[in-house]
Amino acid sequence: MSVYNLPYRALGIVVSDIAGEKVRATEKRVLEHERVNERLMESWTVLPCRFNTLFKDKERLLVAVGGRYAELQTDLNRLQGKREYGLKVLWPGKAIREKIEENCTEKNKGACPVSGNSSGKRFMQRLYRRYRIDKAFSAEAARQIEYIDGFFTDCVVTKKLEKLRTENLLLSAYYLVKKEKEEELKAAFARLRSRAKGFKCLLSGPWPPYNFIQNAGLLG
Amino acid sequence: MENKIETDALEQFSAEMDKVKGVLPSRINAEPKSVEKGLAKLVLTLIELIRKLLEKQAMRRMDGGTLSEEEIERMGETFIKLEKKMEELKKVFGLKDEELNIDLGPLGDLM
Repeated sequence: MSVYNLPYRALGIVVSDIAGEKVRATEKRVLEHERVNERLMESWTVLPCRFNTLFKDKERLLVAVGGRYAELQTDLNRLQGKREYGLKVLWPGKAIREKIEENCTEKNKGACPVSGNSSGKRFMQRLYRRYRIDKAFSAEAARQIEYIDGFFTDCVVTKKLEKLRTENLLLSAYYLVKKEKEEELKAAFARLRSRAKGFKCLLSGPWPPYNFIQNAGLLG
Repeated sequence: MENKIETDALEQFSAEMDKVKGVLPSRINAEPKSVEKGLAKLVLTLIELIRKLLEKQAMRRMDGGTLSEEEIERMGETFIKLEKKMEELKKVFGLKDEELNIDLGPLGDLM
């Protein structure tokens, strides 16, 4: 399948023609779609569209783009010269939770605000203990994320942080970085890896700015 | 093309990301039996969400000291009954705990 540029005023819209009404989403096709975005990113600022963003014909596409031209230009101006990097950090979530549970049992025996042996109170005591453990676990995660994120403060334009998508996936971060700051980001990542003992870190990128487009609703 | 990934634990990350739902939507199964089970799953997921929210709210109030002992006892009894009823309903519809969730796409799972 070949792609080509459809110019519209100061924009280029990169498209391909398909037979039929839909393209079945396979891993191969989605990756091909991604490769086109990355190839374009090497030379231009890209606003990537979701796979299977389809229009019946060129005219309808141009009408849609024309209707949101100002917003698209705003996004492009904002994202010019910047690319996205992803950071993921694994931590030993299970071990940390177990340690918190141990501390909760030994130190805080009297900490539950209800005493008594009725079934209702015992249920609430159990629930409260779990709540306290969850709260401490979440607070520890927040503390560690603040420490980790601190490595990148000086070299990112903006960021999105996701805490604890799983018990062991402490952090999924998305950083918008100016091209001239990318080496600084990579150096910050190297410092993080050398200091964050017990954690596993992954840096990916550069990517098109998937997580920083504000007008993504235009084309699906 | 530049090298895109830097890590010394690729397999661990891959295993962990398998636990996170994918972006591509799964197919909808429109078989009649599945529709009934799917509806039950939706309803029970919403009940489970409300139950967890109520429990969380109760815990916050306990933390803040705004519940009397009597209220704590009554809430505990209510939550026990709710939990038992949920277990019964899950058995009736053949649903497991981990199935009571809704994938909100880019927003992640509901619970």
